[in-house]
Amino acid sequence: MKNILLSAIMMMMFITGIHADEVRLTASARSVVSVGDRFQLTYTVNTKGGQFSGPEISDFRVLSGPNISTSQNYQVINGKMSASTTVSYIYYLQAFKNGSFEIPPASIEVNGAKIKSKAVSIEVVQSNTVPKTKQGAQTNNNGQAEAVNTGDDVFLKAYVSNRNPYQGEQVVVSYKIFTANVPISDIDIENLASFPGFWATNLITDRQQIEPKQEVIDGTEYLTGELYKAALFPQKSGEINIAAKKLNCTAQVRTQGNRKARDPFFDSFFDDPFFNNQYQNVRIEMESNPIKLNVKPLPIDKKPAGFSGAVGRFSIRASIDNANLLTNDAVTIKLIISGSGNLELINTPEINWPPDFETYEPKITKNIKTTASGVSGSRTFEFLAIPRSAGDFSVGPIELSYFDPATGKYKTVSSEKFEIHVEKGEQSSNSVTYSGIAQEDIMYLGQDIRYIKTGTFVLSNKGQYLFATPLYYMLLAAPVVMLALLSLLIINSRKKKSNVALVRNRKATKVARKNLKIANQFLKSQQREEFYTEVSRALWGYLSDKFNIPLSDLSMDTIRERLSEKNVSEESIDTFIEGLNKCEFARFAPGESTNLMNEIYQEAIMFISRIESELKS
Amino acid sequence: MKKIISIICAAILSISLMGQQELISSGDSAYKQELYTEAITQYETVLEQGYESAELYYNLGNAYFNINNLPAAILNYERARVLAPGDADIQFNLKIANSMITDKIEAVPEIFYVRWWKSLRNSINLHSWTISSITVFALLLLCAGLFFLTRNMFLRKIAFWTGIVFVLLSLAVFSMTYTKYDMQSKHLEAIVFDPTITIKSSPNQLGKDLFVIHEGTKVYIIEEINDWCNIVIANGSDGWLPSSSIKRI
Repeated sequence: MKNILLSAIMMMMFITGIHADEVRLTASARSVVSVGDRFQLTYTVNTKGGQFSGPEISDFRVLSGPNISTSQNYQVINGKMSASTTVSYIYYLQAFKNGSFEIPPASIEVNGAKIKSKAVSIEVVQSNTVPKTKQGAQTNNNGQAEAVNTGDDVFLKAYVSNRNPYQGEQVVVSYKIFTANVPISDIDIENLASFPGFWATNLITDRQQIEPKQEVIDGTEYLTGELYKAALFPQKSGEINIAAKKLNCTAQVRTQGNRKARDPFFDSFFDDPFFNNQYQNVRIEMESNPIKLNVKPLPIDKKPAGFSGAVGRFSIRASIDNANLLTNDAVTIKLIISGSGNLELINTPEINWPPDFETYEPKITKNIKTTASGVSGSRTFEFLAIPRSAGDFSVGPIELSYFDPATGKYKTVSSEKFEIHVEKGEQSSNSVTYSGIAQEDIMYLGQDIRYIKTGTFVLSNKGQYLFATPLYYMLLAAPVVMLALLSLLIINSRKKKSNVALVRNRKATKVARKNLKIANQFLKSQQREEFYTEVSRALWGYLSDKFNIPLSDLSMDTIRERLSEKNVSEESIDTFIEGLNKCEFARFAPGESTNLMNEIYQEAIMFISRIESELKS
Repeated sequence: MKKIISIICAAILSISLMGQQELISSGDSAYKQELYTEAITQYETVLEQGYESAELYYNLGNAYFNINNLPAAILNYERARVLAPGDADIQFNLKIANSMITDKIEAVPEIFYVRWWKSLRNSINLHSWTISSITVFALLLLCAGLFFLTRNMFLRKIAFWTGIVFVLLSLAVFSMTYTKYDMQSKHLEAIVFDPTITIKSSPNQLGKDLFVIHEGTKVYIIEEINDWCNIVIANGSDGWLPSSSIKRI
């Protein structure tokens, strides 16, 4: 990895100023290395072909080389085109002891002429003499301070695809390193891969995939590499912070010269390893920017009953291996959920097998692809069941509810419905023979609250009680008052009634006498009709008043009963009735009889006085 | 300008005129569309306006149940049950909600006549008890009136004995009505709303930890001092908890 980056960056620097006609062999390497460092020794010749014979290297360990690389360069100056070819012979060396060493010159034979390079002197220092600093200034070997602004030249940046995801929605986070002309190596990415609060899937499985790219930011050209990329699934809602990640790497920093101006000509001139080949390995630590995610909770409203946390976009496909089977044969339903999202977090969908089916745990296989854009793929569930009794059954449709973050709504996809026809198979030996009817308990499948009450209902005021209110006491008092009034009324009327009776009782004799007096006048004037009417009125009226019996209740038939109730003697009653009869008879009998009238008159008087005396006693 | 003002006035009026029944039916339709939070807002608005009914509390409890807010669901079912003690739906849903809470508390068995007395008291709501107390008293007076005013000996005898029965009956009904009124008007039952709450031995944080109860559990309040309630749970254990952690039924 690091070599790829390194060599790519090194290559950019080999634009050397070479005269086209003169063949030259130049050697370049870092002048100071520390023990254990790996570095390049490059011999460059500005022509094609030739027999290169390398130097004898004894003070350094040769890791590889010479590796040959050729580059061609065409130039048009004032309409004249010139082509130049550069061939580089690169050694990879490692220093293993300290001290000053010289690598003898190499030579190349071009067109019979042998051209030699210069000898290269390299100083090897103890590794701990290289100061390890964080970002900022560092001191080189000459004690000359140089600003190594790695904050500008090398930095790490974190990107996130969506800062406001839903809970469970896939978010792609990536870490990119930016270097401006600073070769780096030994990148330690291990502590990038930790994301508390998320379920994470690494999206770059193959490290070799990292390709350096060039990007220009604010006019500065950077070489960038995506070091780490992961699909994150937030496991809770709210604010989740991804802390700043630290990254350690080794940067090769030029230690000579203090050139800030980026003049392409001088840059390339001084960058020439021939003039400037002092590099220093600096261990630098950089920090990415922290990321704040605002995770939205999944909406509660309209959440389907079967929702079990799937977020993304999915489709469902189901197939059955055999829809016509015999009892005790196995049937398999294969269900494939495919799409993008938190596939691996989806619970096994429920299949509502008929209760008479024996079911088994599904076999789950997954085919999940992690690409740079996220996680997608499919999961396959194979459900196995064995029908134990014959009949026609329907299974499904199998439903999967998921939340689609793109539309912000829940969706439910369902498979087709399977009709399974089961015929009675041959009686297997292990089947049970029942004596009598096999009864089964009712199987309860679930429990839920009852539905709301609809329609209009009577509302009452909150916290108002009838008890112990004035109205309550009034309601209690009302019957008491009514009863009191009623009894007053009854007692009063009774009193009145008894008073009337008393008065009538007292006046009864008087009234009777008065009536008889009138009758006497009629007797004298011989007015028969009127006489009898008056006598009978006197008698009846007397009875009614005296015994407080309404006239309407009195008749010949009831009179005996009534009088005996009032403790009148039988004898008197008999006389009275006889008298009445006589009176009635004489009234309607033809022929006049003054004697009879007289007799009746006397009898009536006698009768009344007789009852009077009898009542008094 | 005038037009705008009049439009605004009309809008405000129409909002304030939106009757409780409209709110309830819009809550019902929101519930049917499974928009439970919206249904809750509608129902709660009616309650805030000072109205209540058993059905309203029941529907609200259902909506809370569907968004998994168990203590609020139980509270509203309990409130519904106070108004309609005999309703089978309310009892069923309350039982289901209670079966889903954390605490499982074995109630202390009571002596049979206390149990009968309580179940009789809880068979109808306070309003019905109040009405029946008035009725029984009126019947008692009727018997008394019959006894004192009639001259018929047989009628008087019947009136006397039924009167005695009504005296006993009205004593019983009055005491039931009074105790029920006392419990309800003082709101002595409450539901725990804090996810977990430690019951203390005294009404302050320094008290010794006695036991832990969880949200949805019903407690009976014995007394309240300085925002602390002395409560007893169904198994007879008692202690103190902050008043803010419970909601009275």
